[in-house]
Amino acid sequence: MSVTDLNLQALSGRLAAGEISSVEATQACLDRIRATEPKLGAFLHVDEVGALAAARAADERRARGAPRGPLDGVPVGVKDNLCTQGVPTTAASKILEGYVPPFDATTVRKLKEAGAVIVGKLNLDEFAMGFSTEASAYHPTRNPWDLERSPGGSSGGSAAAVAGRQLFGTLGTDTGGSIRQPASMTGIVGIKPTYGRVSRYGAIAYGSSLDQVGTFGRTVEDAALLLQAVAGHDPLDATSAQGEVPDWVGMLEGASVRGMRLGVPKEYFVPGADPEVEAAVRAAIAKLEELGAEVVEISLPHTRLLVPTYYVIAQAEASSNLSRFDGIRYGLSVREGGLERLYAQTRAAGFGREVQSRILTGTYLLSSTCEAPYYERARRVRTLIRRDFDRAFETVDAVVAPVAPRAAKKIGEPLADPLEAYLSDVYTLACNLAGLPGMSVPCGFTSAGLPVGLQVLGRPMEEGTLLRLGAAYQGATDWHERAPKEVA
Amino acid sequence: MALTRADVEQVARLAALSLSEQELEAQRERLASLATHFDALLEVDVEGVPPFDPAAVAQTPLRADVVGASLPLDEALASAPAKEGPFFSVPRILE
Repeated sequence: MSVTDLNLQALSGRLAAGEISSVEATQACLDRIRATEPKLGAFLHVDEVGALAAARAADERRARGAPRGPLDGVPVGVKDNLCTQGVPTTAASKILEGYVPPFDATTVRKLKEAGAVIVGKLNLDEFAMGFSTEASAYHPTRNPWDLERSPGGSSGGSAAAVAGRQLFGTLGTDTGGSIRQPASMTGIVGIKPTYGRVSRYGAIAYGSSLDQVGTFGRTVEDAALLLQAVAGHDPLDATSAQGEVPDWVGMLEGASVRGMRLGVPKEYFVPGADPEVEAAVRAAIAKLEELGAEVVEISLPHTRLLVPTYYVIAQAEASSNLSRFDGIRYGLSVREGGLERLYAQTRAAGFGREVQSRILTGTYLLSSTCEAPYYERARRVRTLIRRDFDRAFETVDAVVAPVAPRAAKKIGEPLADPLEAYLSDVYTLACNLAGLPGMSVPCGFTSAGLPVGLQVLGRPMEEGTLLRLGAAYQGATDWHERAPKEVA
Repeated sequence: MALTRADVEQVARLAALSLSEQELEAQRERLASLATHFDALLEVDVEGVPPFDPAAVAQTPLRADVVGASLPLDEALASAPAKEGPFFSVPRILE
């Protein structure tokens, strides 16, 4: 067994016991990355020098008897829309090619303070706008379970690096499912915390009222260890939540679902989904019932409005956020003619097709050219969507559902129109629109050997319920222990 | 939805995106098609329903009004495509 086959928690234990050094673990990851990256394409940048220096520093702290905690010396990675001081950050866009941020995102700073070794920056759909990582301006990322297929997205690099045993854990961002969906597609755990739980400072914004930074791990415990390190109030993010961060990791030992009430939304099981995916999710819910949870059917009546509400809000906010990329202060700059021409030419050359489409749609929605008050409507419908959940949470502790209607798609597989693409992430949108915490946990495989995830949604600020449920489920199943066949 | 080529040109101008004739037409079709899906929002009764506040959990307290350190000039300018002394450089806008 290779070091990279250990999960994060196991590696942490070995580091603490002095059975392995951080330099050894980091070098094992770098070797694995070198061997597998030509096939996976999970990274946009590998910081070998910085990673080994951080690993040496971690080993020195441990030698002095002053380790910083469970992440000290653990090799991890972050999605390339999180700013890293002195290390290139592109959001997978040509408009940011060569950009080197002068500051760290708060989540990156917190990882460093916890002693984690940041090995590199992970691929995504350009500006996190997509669901397959094919919309990266650099290269697609491939699914370790089937190299012909996408790992999902937009945090596809973050998911593939963990599933492909390149790293022990990673950070991603989730605006409409971009953590939970790739976690499901690659058979790992992904957590999208409550809006406000984790700082967005230094996370390149897509839809500011929807974006949230979260974590990937091979197990619930691994993802929780990372979440524990990055969560908490940040004065640099005005939407950051106050209050103490609970000891999530501490509540996982011997976790049980006994007495938990789980709601199964009838609107999330509809014709058109892959029957094998639905069967795996149904079996997982039955397993939770067997473990002592009470399962009831619930209704979320505004589900049919998720797609229009999400796309109106996300694209309106995107058009506003992406106006900062102007070719003046950083990134690409096409300089011919006057200032307005500089802006328009730079943005046309630097943004990919999907990003340009979303900016245009958002600009249209917010302009007087748009005859209908879509944006204002969407903000109110969002309240109705949240009320659906508030009502459900009066009687249930968590909602359990599929993450996506299908397993991983083939790379290059065409989708009929943009709306069909959007419909494929309908199950993950409510979590962001309602500001809830959500998680994907591995719950089975299709007959083609593709992973399937179970989605769990909880009350705001109750990540602990999701984590306990996930840990209890993992305690009774072994889906999370399966590894993709050798990809090197 | 009668979205004209001129409408899309205006939106592209507002978005500061230079689009070819072909792209303008593709975007016009795309926008018109999306708008029909967005119309579902117009059929919902939202009378008396307030807009959702995602940051309600944050309480947004005021911090002390204290001057802090800011980014050193050379670092702020380090990624600039064009600079002159301590300034970002842009094309001339006044004759």
